[in-house]
Amino acid sequence: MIQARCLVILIFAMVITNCARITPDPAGPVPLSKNKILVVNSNHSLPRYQLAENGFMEALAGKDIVTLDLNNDERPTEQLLDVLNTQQFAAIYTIGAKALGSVDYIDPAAQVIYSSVLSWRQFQSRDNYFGVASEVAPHAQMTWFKYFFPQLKRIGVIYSEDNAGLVKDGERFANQLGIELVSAAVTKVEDLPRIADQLLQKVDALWVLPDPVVLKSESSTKLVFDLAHRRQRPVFAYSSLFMELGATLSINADLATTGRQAAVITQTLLEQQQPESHVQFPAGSSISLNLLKVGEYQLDLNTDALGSVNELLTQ
Amino acid sequence: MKSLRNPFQQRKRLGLILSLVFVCLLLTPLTTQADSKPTGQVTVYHYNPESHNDRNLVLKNTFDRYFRTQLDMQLQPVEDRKTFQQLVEQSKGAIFIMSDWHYRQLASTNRSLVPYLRGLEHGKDTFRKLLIGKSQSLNQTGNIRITLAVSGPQDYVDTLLAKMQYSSGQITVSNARYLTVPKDIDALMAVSFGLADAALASEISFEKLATLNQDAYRNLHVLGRSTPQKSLVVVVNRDNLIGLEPALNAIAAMTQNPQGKLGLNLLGLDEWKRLPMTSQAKGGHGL
Repeated sequence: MIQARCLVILIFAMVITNCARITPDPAGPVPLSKNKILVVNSNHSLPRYQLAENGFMEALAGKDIVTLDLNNDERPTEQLLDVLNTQQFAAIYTIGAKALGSVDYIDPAAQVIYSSVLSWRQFQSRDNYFGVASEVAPHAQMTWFKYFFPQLKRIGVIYSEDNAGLVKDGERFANQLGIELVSAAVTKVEDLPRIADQLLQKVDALWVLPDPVVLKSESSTKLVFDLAHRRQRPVFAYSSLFMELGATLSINADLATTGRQAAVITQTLLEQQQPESHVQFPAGSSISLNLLKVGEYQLDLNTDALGSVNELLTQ
Repeated sequence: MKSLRNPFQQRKRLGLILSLVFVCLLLTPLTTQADSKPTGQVTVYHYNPESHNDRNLVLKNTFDRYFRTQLDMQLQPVEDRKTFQQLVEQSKGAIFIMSDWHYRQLASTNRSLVPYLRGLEHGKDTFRKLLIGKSQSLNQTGNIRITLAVSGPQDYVDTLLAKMQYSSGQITVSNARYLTVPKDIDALMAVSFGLADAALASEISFEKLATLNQDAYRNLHVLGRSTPQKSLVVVVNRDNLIGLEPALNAIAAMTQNPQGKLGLNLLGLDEWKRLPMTSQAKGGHGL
């Protein structure tokens, strides 16, 4: 029960910080004189942060890199300031919100590259900030849905005003894949049961977005999954956390790849070139599939797609 | 009822036990080092540099569930190449699943390796890697470095690019930077969505994209084709081939069991094909 509460709280945190859309900006000129890189990790002991750091370090093997772990540090900005006062860096790679927040507080002259930050949208318009978003691009998610379940024709999505633009783009991408994205707008959480149940009767599957109304509370989140289960409709999600709530398929960002993407952005900046945009979506996927739900809902699974699965729930 | 023994008999017995323990201790390093006779549990080691390490758990669970229905066998995925290569040298009573590219590298110095089974996908045991870009040529002029999305290790990619037939100018490897992604489809999507200039992906993956998203497929261009690559191979040490046959038969029969079939699908395969005995005996280089 406590685990479920923690899970839902985490999902809410993700939802609250993931409401807007990426608007790629042209990057400005990047004058850099030195090639030394600082890696600031919010907590190196966390596997998800460790993976990103390892991906970054492997991609830039042989470069002059200094690492700093802010784990258990109650005054991270002071520690960071000590490092920045004694050494000069051309670029700083931050992993996690604590690291990015600390660097942002000091606001150094160096280029800042970030990943594993749920509130990345706050930084997308900053001139010297470049990063990798925390969720796989919606159009990539949809391509995977179609790959796993080629027979799906209609996918439902419930959204509030914050996600209206994303849903509009989603409809266009869905058309390219031969899918109809059936959307239902919701403004108040009280309307959610009725709207969700009506939508579930019209679609083959439900796509969950990081939406502040749909996933507003523990009960609203569970309600959506319960209704989908009652109607025998699979739920597709954007984080493996939803697998515990009964999602059938989740397309998650591969964290080592986000570290490698950060390395490519860093290299580009150090070579005095401009990245195409300030924020890019994760290029690598990590896929969770619940095979029991596939059987229970009698879904037509493309077995070729199993070669792409990272986490398989069978019991 | 206790039996009464005299002290001389007890000392003699103790001496005998100590001698046996001593002999056992002497022999232990030899048997451990060789790990050669496939008498107990058979371990199937798996390492594929083109596959992602975080899939190891799902592979082990699925294979072991299948193996439990067959013989005393277990799958042991290996995370790094060096450890795997040491196991190939030392664990002569084990079975190894590896990429053909890796097998050929190892077989060039270890002539006792025998390829026994070859993986098939849609009836084919070969595939080609394609270099795919969003434009019909890659701009590699001046200091501009292109980003290549790839799903394999750097030396494998370097080898592929060096031997590739290019339709519009060869890629200068020193002027390309690799973005390693977990899957070929990720690499293709990275190009489609502007995260990379080109991708190295299998022909099958490109065909899959064609069936999934015609618009994205139409906007991509084939810039180069690799020579045909062979699919995954099951390898054993020649000296233990006969003893390992029951375990190899269990692997070959994976298609006949739902768990086994699932394990094959997770490897990206549909079935195993037995390789001709004559080639196995020779070391199987021409397969």
